[in-house]
Amino acid sequence: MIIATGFKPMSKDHFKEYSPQSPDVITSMEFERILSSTGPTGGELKRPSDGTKPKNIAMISCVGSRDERHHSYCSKVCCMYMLKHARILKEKYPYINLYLFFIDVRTAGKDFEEFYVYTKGLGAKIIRGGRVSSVDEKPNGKLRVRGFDVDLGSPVELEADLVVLATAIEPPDGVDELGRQFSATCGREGFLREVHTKLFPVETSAKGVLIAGCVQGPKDIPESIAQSRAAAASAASLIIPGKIKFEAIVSEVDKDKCSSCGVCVPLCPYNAIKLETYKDKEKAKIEAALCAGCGVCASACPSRAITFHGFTTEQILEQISALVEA
Amino acid sequence: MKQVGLFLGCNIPFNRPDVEYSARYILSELETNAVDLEGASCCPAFGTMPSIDIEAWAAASAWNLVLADEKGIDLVTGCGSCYGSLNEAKHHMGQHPELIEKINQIYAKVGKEYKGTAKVSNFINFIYEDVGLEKIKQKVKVNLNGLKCAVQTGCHNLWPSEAYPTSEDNTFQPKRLREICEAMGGSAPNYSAITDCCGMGALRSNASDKSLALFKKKLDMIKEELDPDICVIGCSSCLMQFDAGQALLIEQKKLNYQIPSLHIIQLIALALGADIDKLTAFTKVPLDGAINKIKGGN
Amino acid sequence: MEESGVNVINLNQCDEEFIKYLEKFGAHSLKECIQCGKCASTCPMALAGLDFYIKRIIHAATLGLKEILLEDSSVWGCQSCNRCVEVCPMDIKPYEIIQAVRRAAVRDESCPANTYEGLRNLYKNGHAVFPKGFEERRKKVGLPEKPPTLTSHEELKKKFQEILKQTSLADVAPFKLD
Repeated sequence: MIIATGFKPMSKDHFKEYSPQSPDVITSMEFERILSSTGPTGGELKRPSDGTKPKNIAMISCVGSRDERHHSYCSKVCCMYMLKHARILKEKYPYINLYLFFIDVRTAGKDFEEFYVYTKGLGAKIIRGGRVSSVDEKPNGKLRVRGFDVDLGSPVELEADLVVLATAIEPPDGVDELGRQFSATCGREGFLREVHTKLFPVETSAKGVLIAGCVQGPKDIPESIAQSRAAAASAASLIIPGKIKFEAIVSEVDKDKCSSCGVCVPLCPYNAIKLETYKDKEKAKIEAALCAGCGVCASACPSRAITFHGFTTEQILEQISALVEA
Repeated sequence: MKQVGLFLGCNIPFNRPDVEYSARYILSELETNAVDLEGASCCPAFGTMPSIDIEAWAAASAWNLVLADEKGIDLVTGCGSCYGSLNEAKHHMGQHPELIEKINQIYAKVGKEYKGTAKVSNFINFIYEDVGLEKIKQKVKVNLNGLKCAVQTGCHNLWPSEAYPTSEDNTFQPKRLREICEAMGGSAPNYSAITDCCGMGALRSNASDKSLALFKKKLDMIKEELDPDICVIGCSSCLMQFDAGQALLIEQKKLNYQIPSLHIIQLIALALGADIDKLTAFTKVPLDGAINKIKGGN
Repeated sequence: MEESGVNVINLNQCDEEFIKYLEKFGAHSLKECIQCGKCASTCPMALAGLDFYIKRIIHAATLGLKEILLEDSSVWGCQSCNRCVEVCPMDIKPYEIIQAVRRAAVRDESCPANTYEGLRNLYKNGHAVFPKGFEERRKKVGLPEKPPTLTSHEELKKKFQEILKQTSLADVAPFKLD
């Protein structure tokens, strides 16, 4: 099973200081559509309010990202796609004045910094070190944008016809519920969590449930593709051998001791336990391939019918005695 | 009869008693008993006790809050700084019970106790929530006749919203003061610099020229975007910048136009029929144009 | 800054104790600032062109540049408008940091004279702003010469002064609290 839901772009409505009620304040995703030949304007650049061609455009980064009130993480792709939008615009409409407001310009990786320098070369104006504090509507329909330029060491402002907000990448709605259904856990920010950042980047806490793309966290297209192929390969390596290897540290039920109370079934975070008929009675059965060796069932079993291999009661007692003696 | 504690602060009773006159007039017209807070002090101003430490700030603010507690009344003030300082001190104490304990150890020595029951409001919120726009509409004797108002709510009346008992839906696009002006027959459009700082306050005391330059920038934007008949102000400190500060800029030949400015308390008093000479006794920028407009001229 | 005019700030002068001192005086979240600049783009001190304004003050504070911060009087131009608190995406309450620097400055006797004037007025009269000639102004609009505040209540004023004497005002006031 591979979960690859993608992401949700954050709504502009959260940002009261950026005049979200104005039709000329749009998100980058909406701007992407306006630029697209299959979009609502057939690729023609128009202000949503009155259909006129914008002369001054401001793009604002980190809207809802790097922000304790919304998302503390960096959305990672905004700096680059803002530059991409800037490049498309400046190549098509060189006379448009384009201002890009960044906190930092994050263009890490091969070819990315070169893309940044190239776009600057096209005449896009880069303002660094100042998150925009306000976008206010003027009676003449223009938008007054106020930011700070760390290189000038001064607050800056401009009158824009269109303001584009690079809103944060968010986990899609319902991803926590989806994760629960497959016993895959969510992190604090609401993305599904990998088992290990470095060693098991596409595996989840549930065996055989893999993740790829923005469901795991913000990432760009190359990373998403690399990760989806990794997930496919991991899935194949589980399926192709026709048999499965699992850890020895799993729990096992002594069916003769089991009282059939069923307490362990809902407790198992991995859905590895079910009741099945044994000597005419319903007894607990742990599917070793699903068990993650957490030990919850063994500690909860009132009949002490569950053995947690590697951590049996005898072994733990021996360890305690050794500690006491030491 | 409803009652409310009138918290005067410093600038209103000493520099702009015309605003105090207006406040007393409108409360009486609105059938509200203005209870005097005998022995009230400064809120205290941000550059004084708040700049020493939080305990010193809370101790001084608590003096006024205790007076209100003792009378069992809520407070209303026409000064943004008082609204800010009193509410922020109250907020700090609300968040830190150990601070209240310290304050009460101090107050026990003069036989008083801080309970924190009194709410502190400003005139904008008091009119908007406690009186209501419908009542204002009913009470208007002098309709503003389409008077175009540029409103200035004032920073302290907006932020920090977390410390305040009530708040605008969007503190970056305040609407309450605009709606009050409209209820009296005025028009009060939005403008882009509506929440810009007027420059009054510590900046005016410590860097007067820079403060006035900041004010001029705001006034220029008001002139350019709205060209209003009047500026209507929610805070007595802002009022002093808009009125006396503006007069100073004109005197220094740095301004070649003028926009009369009144506190919302004065404008309501005017609409409710107060004595115009008294309610504008210390207004520096002449009001003739605005008065003409109200009387039906252009 | 050196007297010769060389514009280099020596980072070795970082005073870690000063950072802790500021944290004690209310700058609790100082180190969480990511210098995004949202406060600086709206801070009246920055807009008015003061040498130091919110973002610079916070950064200088995190670097422990005690002398620079205490020598510069910009913090006293802060309007306390709290817009920085309202917009700060990291919720570090930038205004509290300005206040912490002021609190350090009053204990170092490096604040402008009008700060003391305000404190003196507050203690002596119960009002930080206490301009001359108010009696005439009040009479003109038909109000009593004195407002019903501490100016009219000597007994209460003594109690108010008792309160102030119990605070740190007693340690920092350059005048006698009598």
